[in-house]
Amino acid sequence: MINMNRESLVVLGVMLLAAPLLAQGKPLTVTGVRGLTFGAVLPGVPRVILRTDPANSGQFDIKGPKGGPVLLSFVLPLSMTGPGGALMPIVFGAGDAGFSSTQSIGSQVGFDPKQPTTVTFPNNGSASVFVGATANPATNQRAGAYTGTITLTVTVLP
Amino acid sequence: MMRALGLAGMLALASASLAAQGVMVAPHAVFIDHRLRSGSVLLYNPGTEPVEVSISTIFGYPTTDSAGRITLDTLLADSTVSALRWIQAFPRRLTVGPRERQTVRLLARPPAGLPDGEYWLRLVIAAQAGRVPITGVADTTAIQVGLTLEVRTIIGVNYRKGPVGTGVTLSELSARIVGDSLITRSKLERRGNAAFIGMIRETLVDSTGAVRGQRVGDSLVTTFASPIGVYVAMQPRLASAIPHPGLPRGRYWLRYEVVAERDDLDPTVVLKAPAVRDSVQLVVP
Amino acid sequence: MALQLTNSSTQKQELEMRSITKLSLVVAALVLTGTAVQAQTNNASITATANVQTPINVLGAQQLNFGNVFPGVNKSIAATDLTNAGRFDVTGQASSPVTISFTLPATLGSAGNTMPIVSYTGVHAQNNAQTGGTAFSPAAGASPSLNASGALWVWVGAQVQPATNQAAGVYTGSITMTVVY
Repeated sequence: MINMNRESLVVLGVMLLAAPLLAQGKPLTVTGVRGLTFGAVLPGVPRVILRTDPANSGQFDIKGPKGGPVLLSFVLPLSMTGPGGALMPIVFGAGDAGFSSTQSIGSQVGFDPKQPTTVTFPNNGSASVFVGATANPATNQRAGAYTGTITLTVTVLP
Repeated sequence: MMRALGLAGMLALASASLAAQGVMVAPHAVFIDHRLRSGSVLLYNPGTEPVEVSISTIFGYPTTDSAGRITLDTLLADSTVSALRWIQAFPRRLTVGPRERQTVRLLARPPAGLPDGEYWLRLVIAAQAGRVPITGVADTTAIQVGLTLEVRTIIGVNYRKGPVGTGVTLSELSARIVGDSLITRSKLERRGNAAFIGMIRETLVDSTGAVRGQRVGDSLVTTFASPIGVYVAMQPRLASAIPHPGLPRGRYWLRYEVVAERDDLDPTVVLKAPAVRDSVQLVVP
Repeated sequence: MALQLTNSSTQKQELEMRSITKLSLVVAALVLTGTAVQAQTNNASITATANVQTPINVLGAQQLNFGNVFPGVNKSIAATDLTNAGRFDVTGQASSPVTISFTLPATLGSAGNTMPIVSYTGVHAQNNAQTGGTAFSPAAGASPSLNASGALWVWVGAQVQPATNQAAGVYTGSITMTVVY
């Protein structure tokens, strides 16, 4: 019983300690807003989508702690999968990702999506990441719909 | 010497590519769903000069002539399966710049009460293939001749409303060897209310049951496959090269099958249908 | 360690065990909570999509080249003349049957003057050297198939007939090839 009381005190202490830490910022949320769309692709003809393309670039919105450094890292597909398991290579260039502290596609700072990148989160707690890529269909690429998954992981650094 | 020849070859290629003009059209068959009532065609200019393109529509569907050659039957303009009057293409004139792509939209305004089924038209994409340079030595002749090359590509547009189904029947299969080719004919008749889009596959089997293949590059091709679209009925004549240096004397069987499969089309637009098969004996004397 | 204490026979030892174990859990919770605060992580995914569409490509690849033409001297270019015959290149799905037809000018024009162009000839082949090629009449058209790689080459030749008093000038016209796919 004595021990249990001591435990309760410890738990209370932990909660008291954790509460101010959590209060430093609101919860971090990352949302996939728009898929990266290559549209119609011709066999043998590379299709480039720029991160500044307002209709076809991929977009993530981030809400989180105001200010401070944030680490952005991607899990990128090497290919998109189509009919009967057919694969189509997708290539991400060194400038194919962009961070916008104003959530404006016209105001981005480019970065390499293949490298984890640290950015400074804006004071209003909202930012966006845009991503472009190049699809490289083979000359005998099978016709049909192809898909791949792009994952953005955001880590708020202390 | 080799370097000089190589350079000459490169220059010849360069000049050829400068003259080569046209426009890529994709897809080569358009399928429009009644629920969407629109489709699109992508035009891409792989060349170095702008290409002027004009778009028009006609009604027609493939059939075969008496010799089995596939032709476009455009005579039945008032056919009940024609979508000519209510599908329009926009824009009808456009210029596609070098390495540029542009989209032609197809908009359908089907009449009220249109019965379920498939309706057809053909899209004509006319591209002026660049004005070719006029060659000749100016100081030895006062007459110069230049011919502009133009190309027209005609592709199918299939509009589908409600439940659609297709199938095909196969009859009157025949096969013979002519020179270095295997010539086949068959009669194909469509079933259902939509065109049969698929492939004809031909496989030659010898008296031991072994498939006679043909080496193409590093691979052994055992089946000759030809895309086919059966809109109403046709009797296509197919010619395929027989294995080099020729078939030994003996009896062979030609396996002939018509399947609703196409690698060049989005699988979602290829209507499922049972495969039909037949075989016919061949004797090489 | 916890397993050994659980096996202990005395009540005191069991109480100590509970206290230590619960304390450990609390500390672990503290560590985890602290970690979460120090480095909040979240992720989301989007989909990359593409729709591959097989094209057909018809090119006017090489002009029908008559070179120098002189008044009163007919000049022919055969369809088998790989250098000077007009050439169209078709690429599409392997082994596809196509129908080709032509619109052929009967005359070439230059500022109101005309020059006859006649005797069109054609060859189609599944290679660009015309090996195993098939001669055909462009006026009648043809129904060839693309080769196993989805390619077809078509050549056109003709004859121009300048009159003895043919006016000087640049004479032009258009040859149109229609491909039904």
